[in-house]
Amino acid sequence: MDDTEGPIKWRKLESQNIVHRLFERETQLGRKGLCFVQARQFYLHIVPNFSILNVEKPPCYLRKFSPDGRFFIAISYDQTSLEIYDFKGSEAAGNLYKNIKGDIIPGSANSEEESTNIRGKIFSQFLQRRHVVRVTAGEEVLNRECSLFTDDSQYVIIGSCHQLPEESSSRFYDVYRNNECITPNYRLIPEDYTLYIIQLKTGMVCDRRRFRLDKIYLSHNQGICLYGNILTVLSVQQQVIHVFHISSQGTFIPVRTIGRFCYDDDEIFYRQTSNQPARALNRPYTDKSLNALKHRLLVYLYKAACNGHIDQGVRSFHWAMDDLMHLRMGKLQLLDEEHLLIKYAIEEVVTFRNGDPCNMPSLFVVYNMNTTEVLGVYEHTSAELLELMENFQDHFRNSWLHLQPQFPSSPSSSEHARRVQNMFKWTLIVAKNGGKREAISRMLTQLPISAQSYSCSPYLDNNLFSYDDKWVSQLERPKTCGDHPIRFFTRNSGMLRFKINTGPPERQIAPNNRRLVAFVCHPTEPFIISVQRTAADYKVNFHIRKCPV
Amino acid sequence: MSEPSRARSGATDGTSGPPSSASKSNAKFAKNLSTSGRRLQRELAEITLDPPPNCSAGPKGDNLYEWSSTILGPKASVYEGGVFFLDIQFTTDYPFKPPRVVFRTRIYHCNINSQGAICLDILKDNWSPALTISKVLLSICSLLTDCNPNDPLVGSIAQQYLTNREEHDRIARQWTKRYAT
Repeated sequence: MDDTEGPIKWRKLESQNIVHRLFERETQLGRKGLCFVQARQFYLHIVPNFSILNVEKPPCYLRKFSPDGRFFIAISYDQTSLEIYDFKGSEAAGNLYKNIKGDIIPGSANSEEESTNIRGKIFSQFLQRRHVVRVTAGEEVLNRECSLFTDDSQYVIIGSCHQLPEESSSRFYDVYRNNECITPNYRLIPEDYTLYIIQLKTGMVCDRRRFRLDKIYLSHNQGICLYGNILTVLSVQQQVIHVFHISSQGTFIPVRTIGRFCYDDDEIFYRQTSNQPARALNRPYTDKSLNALKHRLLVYLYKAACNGHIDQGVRSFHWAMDDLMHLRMGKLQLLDEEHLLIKYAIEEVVTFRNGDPCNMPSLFVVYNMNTTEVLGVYEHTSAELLELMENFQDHFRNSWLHLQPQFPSSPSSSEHARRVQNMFKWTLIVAKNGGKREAISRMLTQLPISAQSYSCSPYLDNNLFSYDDKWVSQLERPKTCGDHPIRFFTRNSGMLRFKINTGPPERQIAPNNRRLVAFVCHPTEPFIISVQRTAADYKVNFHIRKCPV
Repeated sequence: MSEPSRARSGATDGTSGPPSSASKSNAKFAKNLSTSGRRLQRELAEITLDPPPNCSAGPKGDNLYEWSSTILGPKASVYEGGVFFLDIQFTTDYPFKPPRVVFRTRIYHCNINSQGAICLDILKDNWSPALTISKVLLSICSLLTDCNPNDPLVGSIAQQYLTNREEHDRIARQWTKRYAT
């Protein structure tokens, strides 16, 4: 049939055969500057097409692969120890399942006995235990969703939290250490936190740092951020930012504490030059003067008002003064080694007392730690900030800096991801009670982005595969578990390439008990772990590559 | 809105009256409230239309009796480049009693202490109802340019100002750079 006639045109497809592609690579000179992109195309052929459901595993909570893919970490069930595993490669258990038919275990094509055997052995074939590091003495509990790897994959930073017994009376000035402190409530009880830095190779706890009577949001690395060697810890209770330098020996070197003062030697200078009785100096809670970081913000806004960047000028600045005074830091991220993006919101939002953080006013502040300058302030409905986020999202995510060249596949670097995001934005605009303003404030709730929260797995690269991001996405957060396998189509041909089966649908489950599934992807190899959690269950599935026979 | 006069004085710009002592509603209080309210509104219009150089002030939110103010460090003084925030509190006895003015920005000055209190005669004994908030701010500005070491609030700074002016200026400039920008 002539392909120019008729309503349906024949599309010319690239060959989907890996041998053709290998030949092509061998015999043809690649287009200039595209060698990395072309090399990455091989992931289209080597895919995790085989699922092993409900794998038997040691009693631990699985966490993450190190950025170089060599180590895997998990937290023990009692949450006192860190378990470090060696990843043996995605072909390590090839012998176990090479004679299995079908693409799933347990499947209809293979016997019960065989699949039990494989499910029992497979974990230790892939992941070999290297160290069990007992980190805490038992009272302190490691956070299961908190870990930060250094770029060179040498160290991992984890955090623990110690709930204080209720009767322990803490001294007033230990909880209220400056005049911006947050008032604890029943949801926000001060606790003791500790950060640990552990060398992956030796399993040694290199350093620890304690934060007494504090509130640090450890889950999903919300309160701690690592960029290069700079670690920031946001203390919500004390409203200060602790900045550390991670040395090459794996120790925390305190650089400065931002909050009451900005420069690192500000406090010493203040003590030396102000003529106060010693006792008054120890009670910054009663300090009448403004917190230095807040002062920088106010000065920035005042100058903006004077220059006519704010409606009604200086008058509205004074009008808003009280509201500005009541703003508290809720979240922050490092944009690079010296710039911070801080989100200020009212206290109810910061302490989660108010349900809907979307509609509450908040400010995004860009702050330079070295020059102590506020460089920009954006409202939560700022179209400018949304534009910045859309066009420079990689600078906000800055995940996996070590990986060069990067394939971030974010809305600012991939047209497919951008299309998905635009569709999402459009849904928000046309939704009931929606609108442009609502859409912007809703989109901006993503900021600041937690460190190392995006996966760089090639199978989630929007340029290679298309998939429904309702069920799985690059953002490493638990998703609702679908009843059907997640299907991955190749981007260049639109053909179904592989499926990820997260288990059979369960019919008896109560509707309010949502099934959640989290994906842990290896950064470079065809190896994906999906962790399914219902109320009490903790099921682990492996998705691995099996050569088609 | 239990008191009619409060409603009237407040309705023009939505003031909610002074916060604390508003519970007892006697006639004298209501009268004071309307006098002070009208006077403050006039001063607000005045300072908005014709602000004194390097100063600005305005109510914080809806309460006409709580103001915030900004003073830019005067040129050629050691406070140049700094932005200083102040809180101003009026009572219902205004303009017959002086307002309470407090620095919210740290400042190295012999007449201003670490709690922000200002030692200025017109804010205490020499207050006159003829003075306005513009004039008060101007006097504070001139106090920044020329301090009064003979009647200090912080003795050691005054001492240093008189004996070692160079060191005093150096530290004051540092304070401005560190705590007032």
